[in-house]
Amino acid sequence: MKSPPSVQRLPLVVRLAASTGALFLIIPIVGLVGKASWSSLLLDLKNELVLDALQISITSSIAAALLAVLFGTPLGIAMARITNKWSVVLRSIVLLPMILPPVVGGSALLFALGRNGIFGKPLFQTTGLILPYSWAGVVIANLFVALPFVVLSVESGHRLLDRRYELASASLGAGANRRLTSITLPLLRPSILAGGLLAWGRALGEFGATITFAGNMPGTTQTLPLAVYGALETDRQLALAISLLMVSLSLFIVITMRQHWWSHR
Amino acid sequence: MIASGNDYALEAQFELRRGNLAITANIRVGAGEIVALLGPNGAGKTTLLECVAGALAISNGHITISGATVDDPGAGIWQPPENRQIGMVFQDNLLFPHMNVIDNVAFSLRCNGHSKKSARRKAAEVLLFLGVAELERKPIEELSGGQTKQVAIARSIIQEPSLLLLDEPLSGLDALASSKLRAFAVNNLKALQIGCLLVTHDSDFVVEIADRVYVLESGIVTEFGQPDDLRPKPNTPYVADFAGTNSYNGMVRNGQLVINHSFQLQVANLSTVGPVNVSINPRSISLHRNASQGSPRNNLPVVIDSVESLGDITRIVTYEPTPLVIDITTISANELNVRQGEHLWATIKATEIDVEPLAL
Repeated sequence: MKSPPSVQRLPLVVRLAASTGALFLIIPIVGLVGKASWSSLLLDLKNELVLDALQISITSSIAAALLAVLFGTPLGIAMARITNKWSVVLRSIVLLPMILPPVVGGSALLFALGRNGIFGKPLFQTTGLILPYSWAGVVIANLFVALPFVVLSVESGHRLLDRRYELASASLGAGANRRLTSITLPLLRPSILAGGLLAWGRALGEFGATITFAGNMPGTTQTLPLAVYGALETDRQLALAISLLMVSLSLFIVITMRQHWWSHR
Repeated sequence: MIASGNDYALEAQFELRRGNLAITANIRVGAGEIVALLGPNGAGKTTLLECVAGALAISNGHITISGATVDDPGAGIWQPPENRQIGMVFQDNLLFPHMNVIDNVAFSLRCNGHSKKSARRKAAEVLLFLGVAELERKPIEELSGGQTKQVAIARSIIQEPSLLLLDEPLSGLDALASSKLRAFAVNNLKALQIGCLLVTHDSDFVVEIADRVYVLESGIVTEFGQPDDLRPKPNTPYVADFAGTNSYNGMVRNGQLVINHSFQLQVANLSTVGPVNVSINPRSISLHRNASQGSPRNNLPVVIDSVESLGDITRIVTYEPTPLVIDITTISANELNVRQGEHLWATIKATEIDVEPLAL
């Protein structure tokens, strides 16, 4: 419903500050778009390096987002239900990758899962698997930074959920498994999807943890953000083109998310 | 589950503590019997329902549903909600918002291994039986308050549980929806022969539907019996208010009965001293334009607050200086032409006032 203008009208100071904030976010994008040479854009992007990076970015970020949903949803539900002292510890651990500089996260992954790492060494000795500097390493680096988004989204969604829906379904004969699959998960669907989209967006833009843990090898571990970083040194026009590609991808995720939210509330 | 061959849908002895409230109550619901649980807010009524449903555990006593003990801390017995043969209609219904009407109603059949098709067919039959077949394909958010309640009832009775728990089924409904739902519940629940434990504030509904009534106040059963039995001699002001009877706390001193420090009553054979509970049947009070003469009678000045026709009887409520509920025949009410705000005289025979010493 539309409020009368007298109510909607904000003080001048607030409007000025709001405009400044919005401008600050828009200006860099305008810079990108304004500098782009649109005639050669497609030609710039039709470059093996870019196409490889695009493929690695898309596949690794989607894989990471799916894994984040797969493991983050149960973790979020568990965190919403745990009431003992461990919940504080668990919540801190989950929040840490959001605050931690990604480079530090990547180093931590390297020390843990690298060929000589605490977990990486026995893994290599028993299975011959080497995670760093591989596509799987990109996925793991992405997952490390993206997982908290799903966990937090599902946890807060679960807290808003009326727990009595579960009592209602139990009184109708639903055991724990059916309550989860028929009631809790469907009711959490918006939170899971929102968390998954956020995780995907975060994974797509991942730079620090990826370059530290998986390296910057074109065709294997070089994602679009790493390709932009490399191209800035050698070919500014290419960096610009890849950046525009990333802006479009990110915009797509944002729009998907907004549509999703709008359709649910 | 331990089977004990009795005919009760519910046989329970509750003992538990919720915050500051200690609840001790014995409640029985016969097979097919509709039992109302009354009481002021915070008396523990919903808590009792939640214990029966399995959302809460009792700390002492036992709960037996159709012969199967589901909670008995002394014997180490506890059955989770899904193993109890009950249906529950929640105050706010809790229909699953991600399912349409028919899938909500079919839900408990799906839990018991029915195929989607057969569960939906049975759900459609139940909706038809209840007279709301037209709701079948509707999404939950398109239902009115009354329809939501009807679907919630359909969902909880589809498996024909031996015990149905209803928490304030009329709350949140406007007058029209409430009277429609009352008729719906009276017709269907009586016909289904399901034992019901019903929490409600609506006295007409209780009189219409309930076979028996428990009154719970501050965690204790203060009264039980058939709805009609509660009227003439209420034990507590709550029951009196509910049943439309006059009940006062009074004090007997020097052979005089003083009510609420305000007015005095002449009572025949006043044999007690100290605090008393006084009840007066609304039908033994008469109304007059002038103070009437004659021996042992109480003449009390009243101001008419409301006049409500209940068919043959008209209920008149008065306030200062004497708050009374008076039931007179509609014929005499018409002859008197009683109007709100009028100053009249109420007459109570001394022999019609019931005085009981308050147990301390």
